[in-house]
This record gives sequence, structure tokens and C-alpha cells, in this order.
Amino acid sequence: MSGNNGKYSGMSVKEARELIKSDLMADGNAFIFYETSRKAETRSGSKVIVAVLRDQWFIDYGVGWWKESSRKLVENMKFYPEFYRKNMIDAIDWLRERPCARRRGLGTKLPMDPRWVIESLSDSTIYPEVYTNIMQLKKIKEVLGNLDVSLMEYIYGYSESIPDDVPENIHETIIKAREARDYWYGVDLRLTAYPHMSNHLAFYVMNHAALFKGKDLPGGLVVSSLVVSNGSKISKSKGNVISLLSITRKYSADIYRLYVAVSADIGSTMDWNENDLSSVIGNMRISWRSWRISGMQNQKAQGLKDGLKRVSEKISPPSWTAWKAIICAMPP
Amino acid sequence: MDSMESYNLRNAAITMFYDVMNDLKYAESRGAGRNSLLSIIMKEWIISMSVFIPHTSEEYWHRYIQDSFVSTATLERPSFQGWEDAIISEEEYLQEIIGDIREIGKATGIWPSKVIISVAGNKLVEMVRKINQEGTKNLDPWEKQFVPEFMKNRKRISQRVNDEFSLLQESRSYISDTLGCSVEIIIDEPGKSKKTAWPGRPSILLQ
Repeated sequence: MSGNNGKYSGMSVKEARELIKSDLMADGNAFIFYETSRKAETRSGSKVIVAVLRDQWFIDYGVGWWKESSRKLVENMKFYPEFYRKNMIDAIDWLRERPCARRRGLGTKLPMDPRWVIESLSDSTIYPEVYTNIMQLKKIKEVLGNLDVSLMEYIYGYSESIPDDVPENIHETIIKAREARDYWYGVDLRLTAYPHMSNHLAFYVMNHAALFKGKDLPGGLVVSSLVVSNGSKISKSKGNVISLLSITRKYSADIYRLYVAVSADIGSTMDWNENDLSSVIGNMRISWRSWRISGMQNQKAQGLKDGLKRVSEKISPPSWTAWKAIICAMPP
Repeated sequence: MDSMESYNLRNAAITMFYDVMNDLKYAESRGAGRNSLLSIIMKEWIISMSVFIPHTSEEYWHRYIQDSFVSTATLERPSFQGWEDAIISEEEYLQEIIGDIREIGKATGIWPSKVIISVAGNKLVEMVRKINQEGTKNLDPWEKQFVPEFMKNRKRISQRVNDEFSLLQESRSYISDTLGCSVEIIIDEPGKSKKTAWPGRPSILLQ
């Protein structure tokens, strides 16, 4: 900023813009006004009503140190396709305060206010940790009737000893639960689709950056594109929803898997088209037939080798009749 | 393997499925028996395909390979013996020649009833060997007259195939079946024909 611009003189436009913004807000001369980029409608075409609930709880994703540690985590992760790494950094930079609890539905109670249930996108990012030892947790709950915080702290590595009041007959299972969690967590590679980049996946990265360290941090993300059907978006209203169950019944899971693999890269849209499937099926049949014929021939050859070995062990030297029998039995 | 490591799954699937099948077809067209080829590669092929078609692979693995799980089998990087490179070079050379004949046919609009392929004679083979090893200093006067032409074509002259005449002679019926015309292979002595045949760059005449 050149010329006489008061305390903003000498600053770059970018710096001055941010400072003027914060000065105006601090003086009460400005407030933040959010505007949608397009007219928003519900799926049924109705008006969207955004309600701010009284006493709503938020997670503040705008904290500087948290954004920094999340960016570092992203730098160390693997991204397939690679260009989603930058998208993730952008999503982290963009995130601010997000509501994290709701008043109805199923879920875990918010520890500091049990009237609220943790909103699904907020806790779904770290719950896979429980997948690692769910069998042992169920068993422990059967015996103890409850899993209290101090026990969970031991199982998840936040303390080094089993609480004194836990009976000995369940110690072995508790140790196994801790070992299973240690062995399986963190996640080497998480697979999901790109519409989750700015919400679920950004929460996933940031929540892990805040709560975990070392080997418990996520190793990478595979971000896939979407599946369309005969060139059209799949939706209930269009009636073109593809049921995986019906596909596997009609064609088999293997044929569908191979079709998906050869039809599109992970980052490209895959078009489900049953006409194209016939080429994959045709080639699969050829390869299966080849495997079968070759496999049978190999078994036959192995059988002959074994037979020859047995004959040679019994007849020494083999008689001409024995040789003739072996030669006649050999495949052309 | 490299495609799998870099999560280029589509490329990996196409290589393991379509390319292997195409290679088998090609080897068959060159006289190999499909079953004998399959018996060499089947184990590795099923392991590779198990990533994409795990259920079928498991079934075939149990039935024909061994009583274990293909999902726990490991795929080793193939150890090459050294002779594979020579065979691959020969096959590439052969396909280049077939490709060249097709291109000439397209460009001239002539589809020949006969193709004459002339390969370089021993004198030029020896001359190229000398140039590659010692440069042009020790060439005899007869050889020196071909140096300008050698320099002009040196990018396409190579000794990657050891005995071009024998290879083409053995593959005569394959070339003939592929192109749908009769094929004659001759050894060219420089000066006899308009265009000199060089090692790795035979001259082709369509009739």
C-alpha cells in the first residue's frame, strides 16, 4: 500500500485486507455475513431452513497449531491420486467452527453435556479404532457389565496398568484388547470417494492430527471418483440405482471386480454399462478354460511322473512291457 | 508389479489380464503350445489375478496348484536368465518388419502377392561390427565406400539380432500367414540391388 494510508501504509494489499477486516470487526463496524454460492434447495425442491440451535457445541477447526500439525500430517501421508493432497490442504485451510453435536438420534453422548449426542461426522472419523478389538471389548463388557473410562484408557494406550478394581479373570482379554489395538491401528490406507474431501476426510485428518501420534496416524488416502450408470448420475428418483447384490447374483463378484478395475482409474468416473461387460465375461471365460485345461494336463503329467517313479522302484530294470504301458498312457 | 505399487490398478489389471492373454495368443501364433506356456506362467498368473478375481483364483489355486490359499501366496519378481532379452529383441525385430511392410503397402496402395526381404550379407555385418568396436580407421577400401551410407542410416542400423537370415527364414510361414502373401528371404550383397540392406534394417521389395 503506497501513499498515505495511515497505519496500513507499506503493507501488501493481502496483509492490509486482513488487518482492516479484523479492525472493523473489533470496532463493531462489521460482521460476518455468509452467502450461498447458488440457490439451495432440499432434495425434494423445498426451501432450506438453517437453524442455529441454542447452546450448540462446535469444534473449532480454525486453531492455528491444529491446522499446522494437520498440514504436516498431510505432507507425510500417501495420496492416490496425488492431486488430492493439495485439495486436502485447501480443505484444512478452509475449515472453521463446525457444529459437532445434535439433540436427537443415536450416538455417543457428549461427555460435557449429556443432553447432546456427538454428531456422526465428528466421531465417525476415529471410531475405526474400535474395530481393532471389538471382539475383546464385547467379551469384557459381558464379564464386567460396563467399560469404564480408566479401563478404556489402559486398552487404548493412555495408561500403563489395568485398574486395581478389575477382576483377574478378565485380565488376559483386556491385555489382548490392548495388543490387538496396538497391532492394527493406525490405518495404512483409507479408501473413500471425493465428495467427502471437505467434510469427513478433512475431519478424519484433523482429528487424527489432534488426538494421535506416530504409528497411529493415518498412512494414506485413496480417493475414488463416482460410479455412474450408462452415462447418468445414479439416483433413486431416476430409478437407475445399481444393487451390488443383484450384480453379484447375476454376474458374480469377481466379474464385477474385474470390470471395475479395467474400466476406470481410481480417480476417474466409472460408467456401469452392461453391454461393455460382455467383453470382460468373454475374456474371463477364455482364461478360466485355459487354466482348467492346463491345470488338468499338469495333474495328468504329475500323475504319470509319480506312476513312473513307482514302476521304476518296483521293476529294475523296467521291462519292455512296463515301458510300453507308460508310453501308451502318456498324453499326445 | 510397479503399477500395483503405485496404485495404478487399472493399468495393473489390463496388464495382468488382457496383455497376458494377448501375449499367449501371440506366442501361439508363433508356434508355441498354449498349454505348455500356461504351465510355465499359471502359478504367477493366478497369484496376480487374485487381486482382482479372488474367489475364482482361490478355487483354481486349490484345484490345480496347491492345497493352500492363493491370498497368502507371494509373487516374486521374475529372475531372468539372460536369454529372454535376445528372444524379445528378435520378436520386436520381426514385428517391426511386418509393420514396415504394412506401411509400405498402405503408402503405395499396393497389396503384394509376394514380398522379398533382403538381409545384410556377412561383409556388411562385419563392417558394422568393426565400426562399432574400432571406428572407421581400420576399414578396407571396399568397406570405406559404404561409410557415407552407413552414417546416413546409422540410427536404424543395429546388431541386436544375431542371425537375421535364419530368424526370418524360420519365421517365413508366420510372416506369410500374417500378411497373406508369399515371402522370400535372401541375403543381399552390396551393389546387387538398388537399396542396400544393413544389419537390423533389411530392404523390402513388394511384388
